Amino acid sequence: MDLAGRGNLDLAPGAALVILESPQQLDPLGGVNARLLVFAACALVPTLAIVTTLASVREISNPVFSILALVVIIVACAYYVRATSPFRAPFSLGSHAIVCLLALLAVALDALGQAGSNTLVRDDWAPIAIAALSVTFGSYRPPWEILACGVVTAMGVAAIVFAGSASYTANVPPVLFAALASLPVLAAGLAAAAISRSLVLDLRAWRRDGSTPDDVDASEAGIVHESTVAHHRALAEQGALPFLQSIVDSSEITPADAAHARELSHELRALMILDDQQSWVTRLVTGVDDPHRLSDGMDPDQRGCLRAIVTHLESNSTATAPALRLSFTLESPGRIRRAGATVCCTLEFGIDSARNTRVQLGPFVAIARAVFTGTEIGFTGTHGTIHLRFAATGAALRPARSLRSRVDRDDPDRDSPLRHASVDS
Amino acid sequence: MTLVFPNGLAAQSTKVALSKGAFWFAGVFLGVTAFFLIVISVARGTTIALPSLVALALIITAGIIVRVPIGRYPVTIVAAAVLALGGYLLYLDILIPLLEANAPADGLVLTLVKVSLVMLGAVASRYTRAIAATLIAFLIAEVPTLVIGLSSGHGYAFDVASTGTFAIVFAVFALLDYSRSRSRASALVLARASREDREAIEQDASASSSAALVHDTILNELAVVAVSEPGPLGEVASSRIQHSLSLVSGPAVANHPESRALVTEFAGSILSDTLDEAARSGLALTISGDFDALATVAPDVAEALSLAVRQCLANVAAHSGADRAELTVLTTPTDVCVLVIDSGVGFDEALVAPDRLGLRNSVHARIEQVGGTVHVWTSPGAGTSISLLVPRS
Repeated sequence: MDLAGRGNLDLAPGAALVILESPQQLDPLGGVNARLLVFAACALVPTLAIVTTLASVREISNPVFSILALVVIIVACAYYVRATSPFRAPFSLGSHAIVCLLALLAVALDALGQAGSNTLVRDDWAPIAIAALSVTFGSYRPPWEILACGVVTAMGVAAIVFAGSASYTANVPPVLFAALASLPVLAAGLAAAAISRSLVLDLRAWRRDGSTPDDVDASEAGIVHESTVAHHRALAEQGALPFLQSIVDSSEITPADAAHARELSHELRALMILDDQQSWVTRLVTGVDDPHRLSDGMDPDQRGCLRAIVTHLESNSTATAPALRLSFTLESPGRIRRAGATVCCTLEFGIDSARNTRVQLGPFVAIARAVFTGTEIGFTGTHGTIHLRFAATGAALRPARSLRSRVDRDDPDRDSPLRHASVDS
Repeated sequence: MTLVFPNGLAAQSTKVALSKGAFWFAGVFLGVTAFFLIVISVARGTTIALPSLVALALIITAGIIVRVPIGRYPVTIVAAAVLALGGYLLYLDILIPLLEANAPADGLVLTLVKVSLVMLGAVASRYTRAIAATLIAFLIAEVPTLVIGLSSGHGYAFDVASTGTFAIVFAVFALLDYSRSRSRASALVLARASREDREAIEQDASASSSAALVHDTILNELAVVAVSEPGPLGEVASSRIQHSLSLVSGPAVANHPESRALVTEFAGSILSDTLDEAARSGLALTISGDFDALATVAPDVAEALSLAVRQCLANVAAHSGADRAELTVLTTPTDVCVLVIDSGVGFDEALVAPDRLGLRNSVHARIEQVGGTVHVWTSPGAGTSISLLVPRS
C-alpha cells in the first residue's frame, strides 16, 4: 500500500465524515509505541511546571494555589501514564476527559496562585503543559473527540487568562492575552486531531486493502511448524489403498482378506478418531484441557493472539520453568451455540525472575484486550495467569471423550446396511 | 491478524501523520500570529502592515491546498512550502521593526513565528530528512535574529521556545524510532502467529476433507470386504472399489486437474447414485422441492452437499429403524436448503458415541467447510430432521 499516494481526505464513497474509531482501536501496538511519548511528555510537563514556577516566584501571590497547581498537574500526568498502560488498553474517553479536566484545573489553580500579580502571560507553564499532553492524544483517541476536547480546553484556558488579564503589563487588548495563552492548546489539539485522523485513515485503507501482516521468514527463531499430515492419511495411502487395489487386481476375496480388512478398518478408524481429537490448540500447547473443544469458538484474531502469547512465553521461558497449561471453561449457562455464551481461556505459565515478564507481555496484552471480550492477568510469585474471555457462538460443544473407549468400541461389523454408502452416524 | 499493522507501513503512516500534525500546528500558530498583528495595528490606530495581510492570505491558501484530495503527501509538502513562505514573510515583518525600535529580539510574536518555522521542518518526508529540515528551519529562523541583533548592537536573547521546539521534534522522532525497534520483536511474533494460524486452519480443513472422503470411501470399502463371503469379487463391487480408490488417489486430490475433474463428475452423479443405493437398501424415498436449484451452487459446494446427503441417508438406513425418508429441496434468493427427514427412533445428539465420525465429519464439517450450516432436530422417539443450508454461487 502506498500511503503517500492516497487521496488527501480518503473519502471513499460511503466513508463516514465523522471518524469514530481511534488509532489505538485499529492498531493496539501503535498505542504501545506511543506510550514512550506519553512518558516523555509526563516527565517534561511537571519539570517545566516546577522550573517555571520557581523562575517566576515573584509573581506568585498565593503560594498554596501554586503548589496545588503543581500537585494537580503531577496527578494528571501520573493518571495519564497509568491510563495508557497496555494492561488497561484502550485509553478511554473518560480517561481523556479526566486528564483534560485535571490539566484545566491546574491552569485555574496556577492563575489563582498568581492572581493580581501575574505580569507576563508567556511565562505561565500551564498552557504549555496542556499543549504537551494534548499532542500525545493523537495515537489514542478519535480525531473529532481530540478536536472537541482541544477547543473546549483552549476556551477554558482563554477564559481563565482573560479573567486575570487586569494585571498584565503589555499594552494590548485583554482578549489577545487570552488568545495567545490558548494558542498552544488549540494548535496542539488540532495537530493531535490531524495525527489521529491521518492514522485512522491509513489503518482503514490498510484493512480495506487486505490487512495482511508482514510476511515473515519461516526460518526465523521460534517458529515450530505443526505436523501437516493427518495420521489416518498415511495408513490409508500405505495400507488400505494397496490392499484394496490388490483385491481389485485379483478379483477375489479370501478369508485372510476379510480379516485384514477388519484389522485395517479398525486401525484406520482409530487413527481418524485420533486426528479428530487433535485441534489447533492441542498442537500449540502440550498441556491443554479443552474436552468440549471450546477453543474452536475463537475467531482468527483471537487464535492469532493466543498463539502469539504462547510463542512469546515459550521462547522466553527457561528450561526449569513449569510448562504452559491451557484450559477452556464455559462460564455462562446455556448452550454454546446460543448467543451470549462466554468461554474463559486460562493460560498458566512460569515467570523467570531474571526477565521482566510483565513488561514484555505488554504488547501482547494490548492486542488481547482488543480482540477478547475480557482480559485479566495475575502474577503470583513464580507463576502468571492470563484469563481470556470470548463469546463462542460458533463453537461446537462436544461431549468429553475417551480415546480408549472409542477405539475399544469400534467394530466394522456394525457398519451400514446401506452398502457402499457409509458406516456410522 | 487484522490488528497488527505491519512495522514498515506503521513507520510510514506515523511519519505522514506527524507531518500533518506539524503542518496544522504551524498553521494555527502563524494564522493566529498574523491575525494578532493585524488586530494590534487596528487597536493602536496604526496602518495595517501589508506583509501581515499577504502572510495571512498565504496561510489561508496553504490551508486550502492541504485539503485538495490528490496525492496526500505531496499536497502536504506543497501546502507546507506555501505556509513557510507566509511564515517567513511574517517573520521578516516582525523582526525588522522590532530591532529598529530597540525592542528585545525574543518578542512573543517573533517567538511564535520561529516556533512555527521550526515545526514546518518536521513536515519533510522520512525521519532523517525531517530532523535535518527541522535543524535547517531552526537555523533559518535563529541566524537572522542573531546576525541582525549583533550587527545592530542590540545583542541576542536566547529563544527557549524555538530551541525547545527543535529539541522536542528531535526527541519525538528519536523516541518513536526507538519505540518501534523495541516493539519489532512482538510485532514479528504476532505477524508470525497470524500466518501460522492461517496455515493451521488450512491444514485442519484439509485433514477434515480427507477424513470425510476416507470415511465415505476407503473405510466403507474395507467394511464391505470385511463382511463379504470369500469368493470372486463381483463386477459392481470391483467397480465401486476402483471408484473409491480413484477418489482417494493422493494428497493432491483436490488440486490435481484430472482428480479434480473426477471429483466434480462424482459430485454430479452422486445424488442419483445415492438415491439408487437407498432404493437397493430398502429405504423408500419421498422427494419434493426444487431440485433444479442444486445447479445454482458452486461445484465444490454441490460435491459437499451431495456427499453429506448421502451420509444422512446412510444414517437413516443404518440407525433410524425407519424404512422411508423424505428428501426436500428448498430455496431462497441466496441459499439452497436440503432437508432429510425420517420418522425413526431419533437420538440425543449429545449422547452420540464419539467414535461415530459420520455426522461430525461427513456432514457437519463438510458443509461448514463450504460456508454452509447444518441443523439437526431430533430427540429419542421423535424422528430426525437434518437441514443442510449452503450458499448459491
